[in-house]
Amino acid sequence: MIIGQYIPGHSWLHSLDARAKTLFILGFIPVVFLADNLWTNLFLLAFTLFVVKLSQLSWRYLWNGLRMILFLIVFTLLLQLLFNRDGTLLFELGPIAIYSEGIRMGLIVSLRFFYLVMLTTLVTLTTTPMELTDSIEAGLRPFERIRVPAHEIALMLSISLRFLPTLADETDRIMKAQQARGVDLMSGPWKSRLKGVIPLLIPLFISAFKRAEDLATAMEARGYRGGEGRTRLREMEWQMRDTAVLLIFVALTLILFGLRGIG
Amino acid sequence: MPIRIEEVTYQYQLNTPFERTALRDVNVTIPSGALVAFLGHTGSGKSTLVQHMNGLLRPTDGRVVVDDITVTPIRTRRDKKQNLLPLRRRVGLVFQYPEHQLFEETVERDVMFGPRNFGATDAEAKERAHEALRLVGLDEALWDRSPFDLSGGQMRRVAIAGVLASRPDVLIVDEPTAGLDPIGRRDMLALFKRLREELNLTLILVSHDMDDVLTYAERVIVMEHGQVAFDGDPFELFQDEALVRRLQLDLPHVLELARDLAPIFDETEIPLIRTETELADWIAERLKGGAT
Repeated sequence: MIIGQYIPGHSWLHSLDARAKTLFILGFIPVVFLADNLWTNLFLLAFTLFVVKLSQLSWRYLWNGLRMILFLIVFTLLLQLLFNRDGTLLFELGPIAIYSEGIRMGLIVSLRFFYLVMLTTLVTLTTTPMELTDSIEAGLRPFERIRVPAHEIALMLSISLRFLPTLADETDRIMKAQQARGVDLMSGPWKSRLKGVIPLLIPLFISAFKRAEDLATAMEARGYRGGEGRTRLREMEWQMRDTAVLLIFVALTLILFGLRGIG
Repeated sequence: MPIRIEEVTYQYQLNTPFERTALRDVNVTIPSGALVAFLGHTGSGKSTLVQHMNGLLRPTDGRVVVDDITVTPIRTRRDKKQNLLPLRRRVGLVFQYPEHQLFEETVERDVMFGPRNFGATDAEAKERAHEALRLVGLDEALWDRSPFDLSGGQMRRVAIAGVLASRPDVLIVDEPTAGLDPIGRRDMLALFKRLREELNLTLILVSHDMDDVLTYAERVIVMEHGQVAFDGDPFELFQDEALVRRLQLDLPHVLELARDLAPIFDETEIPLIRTETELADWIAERLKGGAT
């Protein structure tokens, strides 16, 4: 799984404002459902691959990282193939019957899934977690008037993101320490493997709580008192290219509406 | 039980953009009963190397031979299924801050965890736990307490007992004195020295403390950028100041003082001193010589 990771780089995608990227993805979610025929899908597929190219990330890395998702996509395809009973019957063998709508819907659903997963992954791969949470904070700011704690939510998010790698390291360390004491998490019946999780979880929880306490103390010691009047080290800058992203999005939507008319 | 590291290369996160070579073509042989220290900066590969010795990490290339067990890179399905438990029992590894691995309700049960995993019955595990707890010198009154009620130093002793209880032939300790006060450090190192003598252990010490290495190790292996930069007697290393500087190490404090004092006593070479007591004796001797 590579979604959520960040890979440093200098591509056009990297240079975009995080707000533009998150807005695009949010808008893209409903727009994906406009793709319902051959042309719209070809267009979106081409667009997705073009964005991959723009990210300058290696295809092999993406392919390896998305293999798990591919399994899900194939699974939905199979579900549609086997259980969709609309359209004309194409093939029948015992209990297996494949209908034309099954193939069409299966392809459409799995392709939509692919566009979404691919583009979302690309956004996280090209945006630092800090930028992402900043953009979420910016997005929540208008709701502060109805008492949504925008700053606190963003802070919680960025703290958890910040500590993910730390916890991963910690997990690795504790896992190794217990493996050195004979815990075997890789083989054996699943029941004993499940039991092997306890010596991992307890030390992990203890250290996570300790860390949280230390962090709270450290923040208070440095005078943290919430978001009011707080300035930033890195101001987000909205540039021409970010406006361009929004325009691209509008164009994309219009083209999709246009292509829906054909065929 | 000799340990042979043969042309071992190890890469972290193979086939990702984060790929990083931690070990490059390393050859090291550690004979039975040795007391070896691995010295090096953070990221020099010393911890990565010792984790190969009990099969926690498997080489990307090359092989690790411990007695009759050979650990190779994972190439086939059979490699993947290789049972490394016997190796892990015989080569005990105490990690940095080992107290972070404690999880059981009582000290005794936590120490029994290892032997149980390695196939001992409850009675055997209990016996070995008691033996190990005595070895590390933990007061019997504490055995029924929760490990989380103990002091930091006591917790560390429990964790070390948890590894000793499996009766390893080789004991690897990664930065055993990290986070301890000076007295705690001295006690901890003395403990390992005693354990080695009582149990006939091969002792492998991972450290970045020059004084510890000088005082305790019979052989020092300096790691740098994933390769062995020096392998030999600690004195040989520390007497060659140019070498010490090139490897970006420091002189141990006793040797530093002796080096600064040497010209005053008309000595040209840094004397062979390992401990503060030896340093004091050396100075006393010179002073006496000067008086006459």
